[in-house]
Amino acid sequence: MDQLVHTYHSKGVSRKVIAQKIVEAGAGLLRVCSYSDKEMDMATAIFRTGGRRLVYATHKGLNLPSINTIRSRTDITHLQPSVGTITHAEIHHNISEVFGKDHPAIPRCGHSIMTDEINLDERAVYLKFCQSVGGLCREHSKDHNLQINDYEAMEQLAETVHGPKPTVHYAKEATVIGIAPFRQDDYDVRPIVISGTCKTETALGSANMHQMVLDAWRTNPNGEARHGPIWSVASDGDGTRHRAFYLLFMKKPLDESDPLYDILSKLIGLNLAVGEFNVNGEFDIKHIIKHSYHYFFLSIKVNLYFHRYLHSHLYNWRNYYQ
Amino acid sequence: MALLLNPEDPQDVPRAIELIQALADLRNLDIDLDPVESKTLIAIKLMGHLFNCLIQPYIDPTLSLTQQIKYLSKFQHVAMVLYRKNSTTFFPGQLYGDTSVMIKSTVFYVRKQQLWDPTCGVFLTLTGDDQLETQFGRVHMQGAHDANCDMKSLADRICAAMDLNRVFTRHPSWDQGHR
Repeated sequence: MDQLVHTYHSKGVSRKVIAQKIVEAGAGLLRVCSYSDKEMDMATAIFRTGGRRLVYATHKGLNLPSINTIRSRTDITHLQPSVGTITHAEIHHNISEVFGKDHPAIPRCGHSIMTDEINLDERAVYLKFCQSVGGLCREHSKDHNLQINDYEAMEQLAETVHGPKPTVHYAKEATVIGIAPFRQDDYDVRPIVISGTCKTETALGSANMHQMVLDAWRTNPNGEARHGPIWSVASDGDGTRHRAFYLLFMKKPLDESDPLYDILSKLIGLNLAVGEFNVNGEFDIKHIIKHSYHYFFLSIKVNLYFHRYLHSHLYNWRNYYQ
Repeated sequence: MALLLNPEDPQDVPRAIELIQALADLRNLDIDLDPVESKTLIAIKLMGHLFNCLIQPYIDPTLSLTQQIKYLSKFQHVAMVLYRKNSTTFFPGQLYGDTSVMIKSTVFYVRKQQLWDPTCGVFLTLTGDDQLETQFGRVHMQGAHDANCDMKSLADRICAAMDLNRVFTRHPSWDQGHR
């Protein structure tokens, strides 16, 4: 009964109609469903593993929530991939979508931004939410209209991509920026930016993109206010991002009045340059090991004779100690 | 050894770690060599020792945080001296920059965590962007036979992974986990 009144009331229906619906429900003409959180979670899991058809089947067959119900309860995350250049609006939308659903019990803590690239199939896609063409690179699509309004505009766009001198490219890779907490429990990385790249981005462009994410997190009510500040920005050893990170996170010396200063300033040799709000850049240990391996142990001129020599000694020595 | 130095896949991190450990094992090796060879051995011992300091904090779970930071600091100090002396013949500039930045940011992380909530632990595995790559792994797995995807399905798969993660956090018993 509660459920029924609530549903129809929120639709703005008159009392008369509500009364009529109650009568109908009593007579078995109208099915009223109220779902527990557990059922909603199960339907979400079914939707995300088995897809829309399975949700339909379980809705009809087992009385689990329908696709519309889980959609309306916003249990389904909708991440907007960026169309062309990344905008503040997109980042804010994604932060709210991804970080706005936590039940509030999780305490605030430091967070890290992570950036990496993933391979994409090079093709254009239709993005329904903004009626636009997606899958093009963010570096060059700035000056082009990607909205699907008329046939001529689309032909022109196709010409710029497929013409003899393409000025816009299909995205070879997608840059994904995710945010993860510095804590051991409930740890997961949540992507908030997905953007195509043709790998010609400049350091400045990359720096601007990260600055936008930092700004958005700081100002969004579902960002810093709710979850905690950003402490560092991590990345692999990509050359462009090196320069970008230098621009962003070696900006100014640590402020002497900062609580971090008293102990860190005593560490001899520690470089105290930081970015705005004391954010640090960082690189992944695995990438560093890969690089070292490559540079040192493979390109170094260690002669083969010596390998053999060491090998036999290492072998004896190990046997001796074991 | 020959296999460790000539890998089929130069991106093989476990093998790189194995090699570094093998080199680190050499540091107590004491054998008679002619002057040229012993010079090479000294260089190799130094390398092994140096890189051992870099990887130990990440692979030895029994270390305390103090020990981990000591190792990293030792690496950085020795690397700095070697880099100042030999410049890029010792270390590519980018690699030196990367390690410096990583170690610096780890020290900052420790202090930031101390100030924010000292009861909460510091975990070196949380630094870096490796977790994002793990997420990519899951995205590829969802595709099964069609591992690569376009922009739209990438967004869909990432959302699916997050939704499932949220549900499974609330109901851990529903998760089959990795097999």
